[in-house]
Amino acid sequence: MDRNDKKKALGRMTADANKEAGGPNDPCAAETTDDGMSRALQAHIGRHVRAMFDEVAEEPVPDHLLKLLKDLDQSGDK
Amino acid sequence: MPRDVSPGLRDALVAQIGSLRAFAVSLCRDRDRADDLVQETLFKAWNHIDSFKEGTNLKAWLFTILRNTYFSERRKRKREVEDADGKYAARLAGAPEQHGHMDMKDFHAALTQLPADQREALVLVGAAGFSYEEAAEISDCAVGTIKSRVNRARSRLADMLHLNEPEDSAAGTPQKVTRTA
Repeated sequence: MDRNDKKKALGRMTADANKEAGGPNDPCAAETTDDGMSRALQAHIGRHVRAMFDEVAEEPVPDHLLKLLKDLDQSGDK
Repeated sequence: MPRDVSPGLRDALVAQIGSLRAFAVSLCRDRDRADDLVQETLFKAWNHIDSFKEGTNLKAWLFTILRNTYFSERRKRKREVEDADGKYAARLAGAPEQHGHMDMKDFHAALTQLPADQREALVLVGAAGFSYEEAAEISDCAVGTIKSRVNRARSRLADMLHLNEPEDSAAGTPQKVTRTA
């Protein structure tokens, strides 16, 4: 995954969390989403989901998968 | 049979392998099966590269192939899988190989217990970088369905991890916060 994707995901999951621009005393500043979850909690869950995903995504690609593409590449020559 | 796959497209495929593996692991929760799934996805992608329109979203195309492969296999052995799901999740919860914080391990275990459609939606939107619209296309459902799956996934995780106790939240948190009955 490239950095841009990560930023997009981060943006989306925390976008909800950042909407309370008016501060806690602003009656318009919703601290929960329409399904009743606090934005801080949403952001917390989002961070964990990303961390788990990135942990695998950033591992080196296993050789057998690279080899598969190489083999396919060669079989296309015939 | 495959036609020429341009070196550029080949490189683009390689660049997506990491994300594909992460998505595969999140779907099937088993490293070996995940790599088989990625292998099958790459194989299918290569052989159907003609149906990919260059310039469109390669990542979304690959994710679609992977999830369709996963769910069609899963349907084939549904009974077997459903039976194994609970046991597998329980084993994962205690798996010592998980490095990182305790917190992360608990989270991982909770995530594995979500229904597959909810987990998928949460990962596509929350981690893989897709918009709700793209996720809906990948999962072949309505945008509203993706949104509600993501919401349900989040609140189930919060319940399982006891994250939504009002006492733990910042002062002023409205009582709307759901409590498990």
